[in-house]
Amino acid sequence: MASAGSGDEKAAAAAMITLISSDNEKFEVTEATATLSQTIRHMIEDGCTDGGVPLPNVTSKILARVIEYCKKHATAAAGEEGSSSSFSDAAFLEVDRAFLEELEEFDDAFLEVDRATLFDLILAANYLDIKGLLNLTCQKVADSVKGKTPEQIREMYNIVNDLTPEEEAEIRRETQWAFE
Amino acid sequence: MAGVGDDLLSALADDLLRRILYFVPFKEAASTSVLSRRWRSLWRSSSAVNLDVRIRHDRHRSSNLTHDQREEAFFSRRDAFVRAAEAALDAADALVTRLTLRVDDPKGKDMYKFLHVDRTGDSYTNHDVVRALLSHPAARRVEELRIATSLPQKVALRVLDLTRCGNIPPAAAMGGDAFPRLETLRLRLCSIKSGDLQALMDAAPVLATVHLQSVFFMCSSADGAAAEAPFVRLRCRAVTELVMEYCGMEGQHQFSSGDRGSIEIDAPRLRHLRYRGTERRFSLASPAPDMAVLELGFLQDRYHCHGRDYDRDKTRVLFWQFIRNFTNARVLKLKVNSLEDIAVGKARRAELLCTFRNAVRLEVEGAHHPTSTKAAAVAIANLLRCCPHVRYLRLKLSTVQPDSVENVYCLPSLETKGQLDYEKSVDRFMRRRRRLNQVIPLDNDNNKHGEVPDGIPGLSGHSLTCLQSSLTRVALQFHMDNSSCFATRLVKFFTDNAKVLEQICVDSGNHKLCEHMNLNAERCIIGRASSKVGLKRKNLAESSLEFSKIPRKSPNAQTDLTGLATSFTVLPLER
Repeated sequence: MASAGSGDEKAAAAAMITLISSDNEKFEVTEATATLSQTIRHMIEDGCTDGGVPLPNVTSKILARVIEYCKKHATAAAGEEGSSSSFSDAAFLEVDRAFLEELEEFDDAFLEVDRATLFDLILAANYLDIKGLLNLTCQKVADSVKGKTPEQIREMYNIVNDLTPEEEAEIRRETQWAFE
Repeated sequence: MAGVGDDLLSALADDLLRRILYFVPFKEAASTSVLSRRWRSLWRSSSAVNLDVRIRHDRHRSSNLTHDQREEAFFSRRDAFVRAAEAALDAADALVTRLTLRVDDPKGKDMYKFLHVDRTGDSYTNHDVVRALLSHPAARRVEELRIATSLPQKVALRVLDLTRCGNIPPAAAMGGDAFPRLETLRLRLCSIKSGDLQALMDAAPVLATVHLQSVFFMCSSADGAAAEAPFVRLRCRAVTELVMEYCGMEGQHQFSSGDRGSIEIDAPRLRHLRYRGTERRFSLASPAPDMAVLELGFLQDRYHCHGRDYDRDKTRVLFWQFIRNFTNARVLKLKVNSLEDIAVGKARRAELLCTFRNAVRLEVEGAHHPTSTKAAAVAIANLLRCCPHVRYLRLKLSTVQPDSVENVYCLPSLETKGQLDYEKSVDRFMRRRRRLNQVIPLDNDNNKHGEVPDGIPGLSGHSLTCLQSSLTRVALQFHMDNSSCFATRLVKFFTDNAKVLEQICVDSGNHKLCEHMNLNAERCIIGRASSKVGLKRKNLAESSLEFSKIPRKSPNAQTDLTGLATSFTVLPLER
């Protein structure tokens, strides 16, 4: 994570925040990147980020990925860091459509992970309160149950059915439309 | 996949499971109620209902059903979907903030029948499935609606995105601020009466972003009189970003005079306008003082252009009248079929040209005649004159045979042309390199510049303010063919005349073969203007060259070189 701030001069001048993973690895990121997390944003606002922000719920492996996501999306939020870096006019702040497409591609590639990592990302996104990442990962899980029967979902996620046959039959009657 | 002990889902808190269910289609969501006791009613509080349906057909041949029986089956499946959708909304016990409706119509012809027709006995009557669903009490507080059909009435709606809606019904009935929170409106492949769109805009007082892509405006019955040329008039006083791409209007082909109709927009807070499509009259009903970005792409109508009555002057007048609405713009991106079409001669400058005082960035794309380039040069000079403080100029030039607009439409042939360009370019580059290495040492002061005539008719000799004080970056992109001479002359023109130039980027041809152009430019600069420009650094690996340039008005350039020299670089253009 040595490349935090992606070499951008403006970002380098901005305040840096140190994030500390559960296994005690330190990550230095720009404030713009870190504040995609509402949780960290509030800590910065409260002025309690000196000496680093310990994140006991997030491993270094997952934190590295989360930071990767935040960096990309923080750049997108800043809008401008595209091609014409030597121009700082407000006029160049216009949204670069090509960049948005690139962002979508990034998101797709970002989700190419095994299921355990995906669920760790959900937990981290939830704990750090990063709305975009939470939606992205939850959507991915939602897509995995699309078109599946309850039996298939149970099998896929090892869910133990603790309903009695009578209860299950009753639920199926109640929501019969869903099983047609 | 289904590893034993893979109980990741069950490890999540209920809130996160609800978050996942938020994105699950309605039937699958409801069927999770039988997964286990814990899941029994989770889906009811996901605060989203994602309606998803695929229109199915009984095959004509494989079944021995009659027409009536097939119709009956179609409508009974549709009604089953509506009942299920209503049941899903009934079951929601948290506020529904997200409602999506996705109707998949594989044959692409039954959407209307599915959503708008009811069969009662033998007759068909009007019916509106979408309206019925949206008026469900559970959908009262929807914030996000994604839909592919007719207009909803949603108080909390912020984004309205409609694609492929046949005939958007009038919104007039809603009255008042029916969309008090609507910020973004996107219509794609829709047809709508301009009066209905106006009613929708009137009902959305904070509407800021409007995208109309391939929208067809139908005549309102009142102003549909065929004697009048078609027009669209829209009032959207809060809108800051307006995109109109490839929109059409009823009656635009009826007029042999080539009148494509006109558009009038009243948007005083407009900051960004993108217009792409056929040439039309375009006017602003009130000034837009905050205007920042204007993107204009005029495409010529193929039939129109081949017609006898094709009139270049009409294009010219429409173009300049269009852009003069936006004299506050800071960024101009202009694209025309042919630069000749927008060139304005001396006689009409006062009538047509205007000044963009705030423009700092100018991008021009267009074709020019392969041999006579004067009109293109005049057009470039016109635009530079209009932008006295421009700092960044980007020109994208190509050559087409005049009167062949086919190039614009036939992409495959463009590809082939690109390949030919590339091969030609490689060939020339190889030859040139050999020659350069053998014959012309790069620091040779000997003027071997016969190929590159001095000056550009139509461009040279004008005093252009931006060249004196503001233009620092120039980017040029063009195809390699006979016209490269014009491009080379443009490179030379800017290096000679732009007094504060810092960087010039060049891309010659479709496949980034920049080395050739750099060498050529370098030779041209060194050869012709050796007293003013000298090579400082050359980096062929990166195809970049750095020159130092001494301002013209320094008689004793030799004496104080360091103090007076400014430098600029030649770089390959990134695309």
